[in-house]
Amino acid sequence: MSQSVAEQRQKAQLPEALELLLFDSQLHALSRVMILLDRQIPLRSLKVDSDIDDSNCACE
Amino acid sequence: MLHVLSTPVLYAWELTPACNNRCVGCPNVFPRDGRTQADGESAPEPPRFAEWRAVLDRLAPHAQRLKLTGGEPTLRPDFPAIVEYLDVLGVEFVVFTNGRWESAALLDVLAGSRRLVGLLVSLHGAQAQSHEAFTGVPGSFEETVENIQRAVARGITVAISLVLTCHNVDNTADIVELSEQLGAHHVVFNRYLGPTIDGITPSPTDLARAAQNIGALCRQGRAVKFGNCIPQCLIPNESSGCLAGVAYCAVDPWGNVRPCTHSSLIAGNLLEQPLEGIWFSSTMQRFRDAIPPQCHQCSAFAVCHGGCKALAMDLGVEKDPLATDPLSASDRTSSPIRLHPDMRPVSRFVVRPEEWGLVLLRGNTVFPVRPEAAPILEALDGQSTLEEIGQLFGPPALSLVGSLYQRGLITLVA
Repeated sequence: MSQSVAEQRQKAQLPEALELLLFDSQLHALSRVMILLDRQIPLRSLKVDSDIDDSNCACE
Repeated sequence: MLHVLSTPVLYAWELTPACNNRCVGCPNVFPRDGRTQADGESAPEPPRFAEWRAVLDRLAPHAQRLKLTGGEPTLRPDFPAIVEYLDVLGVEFVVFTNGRWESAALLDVLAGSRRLVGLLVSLHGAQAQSHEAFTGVPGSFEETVENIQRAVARGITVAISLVLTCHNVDNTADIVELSEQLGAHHVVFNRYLGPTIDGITPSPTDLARAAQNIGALCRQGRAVKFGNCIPQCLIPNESSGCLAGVAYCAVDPWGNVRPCTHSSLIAGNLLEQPLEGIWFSSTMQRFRDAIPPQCHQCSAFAVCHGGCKALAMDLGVEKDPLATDPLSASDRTSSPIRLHPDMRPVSRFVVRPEEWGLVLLRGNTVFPVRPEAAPILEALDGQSTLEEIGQLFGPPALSLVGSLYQRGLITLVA
């Protein structure tokens, strides 16, 4: 990792939640995703695909 | 509180009012044929493509994705020229079609496009009876199914899109099975938002039952998605709210901009006005303000976005007719994702700066983050491992990486 990134980390005070909500009720905490690093997990490439969905509301 | 993008990034472009289906519950807010307006006057002929070029040139830098719809978009005579120009501009697009094109040449046009993501094909039932009860055209089922097969055979990605009506609401599994047989990528289930019609409009109870069945199909790993929103306060479900007025808008065949395809509110005209002025017009703001006050107090607001505002406004009611009472705050936690620490995340998104933060874009996904996330996003370059990112930036960075992974915004390479 580049030194500049490390420097930025030192400078930045990262908030606990880096995500924002487009629709924010300020009531409901974000569902935090937790990653557990585990060397027992097979080392292989992973990809989630979500390409041709229609989640912005339209039907015919 | 809404984080509105400075311009829309997702657009539904209604290319033509013409359609060769006769759907009894057609939700188009303009008449589908003859271009006859509600007052009996004839609507003008939609502008030809030459008049749209300048508009597309202006939209292209902002547009993450266009959905070409209608009517039936392929009936527009200059449809091939539009596809060709979107390729030139480098704007990705989806074609939302009833799959009833007669010309084999159309598939040549689509298969040759570099920016076509795929086809969303309306198929409203697993049998001719249920499909044609909605489309109103005998033989339309067979025609659509055959064209789906032809498109798949040409290597075009096809997703099946349908609205849940009384005719199909209890046959969701059959539709998914047919989709799989046809080689479709997945099925998109949409809530019916057209006029209330006996024998078409499912009851809230029927819809809730269908939502449960669709959720079960999702959990089985079947290729199933929700399109538009079924309020979480009706029944907890996997649908999510629309982005109309926040990241998405519709443009009709005459250039009128509306918050979404279901809304009759016209905020301006792209052929006559700049996009930014329309997007921040009082009309568009009126749509944003139509979120019911109680939804701002609901723990599901971030997911369902206040239900269908277009439907509520057109019905002249305060809230989505399916909405009930706000849900109380809940502590939503997801199962941890276990990953090997030597995996290296690689970004698959473009970053757009906004006054209030950054927006990550890929396909239909619009994912806002705080500006402080910028150095972490830079580290998603395939060089840094998860372990290194965790050591440098701490647990919040790994949580962000997990969210990006879940949304398909990064790949993890070994």
